[in-house]
Amino acid sequence: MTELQRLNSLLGTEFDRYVLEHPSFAARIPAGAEIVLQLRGHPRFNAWARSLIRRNHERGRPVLLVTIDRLRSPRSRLVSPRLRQIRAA
Amino acid sequence: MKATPAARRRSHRNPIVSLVSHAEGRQHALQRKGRRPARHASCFASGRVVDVAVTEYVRWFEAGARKRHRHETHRGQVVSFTVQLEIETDDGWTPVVRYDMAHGSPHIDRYVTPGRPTKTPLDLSPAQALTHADKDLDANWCRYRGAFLEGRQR
Repeated sequence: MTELQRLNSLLGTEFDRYVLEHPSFAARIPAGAEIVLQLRGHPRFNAWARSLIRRNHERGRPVLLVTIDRLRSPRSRLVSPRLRQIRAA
Repeated sequence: MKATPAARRRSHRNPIVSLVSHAEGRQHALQRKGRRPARHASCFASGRVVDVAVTEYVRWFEAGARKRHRHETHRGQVVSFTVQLEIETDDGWTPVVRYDMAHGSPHIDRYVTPGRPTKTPLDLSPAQALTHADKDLDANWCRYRGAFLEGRQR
């Protein structure tokens, strides 16, 4: 995978999760839409993503541009882990 | 909302069908008024008609490789989904890996040979399986595509 494809996959995973967690946002996606992800401050990626949809667009499908402001830094999802020392054997 | 004449005739035979026809009639009425109808479908669950919210879209990985995502929720809970990696071949768009709940429980179909999937059940809840499906295809689409095309050439 190229660097741009990797970024596309990362943003795509986060987009899928966001859609699942925000039903009102999901309701605004037309059925069968082609999603184009854009990330602010990444002109090379944005141009690549747009050219990808331009070259491969399927007639009849709506195209939806999703502009993302930024990505939060990843955080652990653990809740209240506790430490306890034990014997190995 | 009045039932259509066809729905009234059908309802004498099956009361559940009249509920589905009522939902369809409402969709048509909204379209006639120029309003976009809510994207929902009706499905049967334990003999009852329930409204589900349907979300469906396509994301491109590169030319000739895309992911189709569809999920249905009822009151915020995932009740059904299909997430599939598709590769463009001489025969058109072909599924390579598909996660879905076609038989009521989450599973993965791998098309090592075109037309003959290998099924693997997933011991996950629908929501967990959906998240896993999206993550897996986003991270590994390149590998799955390579393995599929290699299999076709043999």
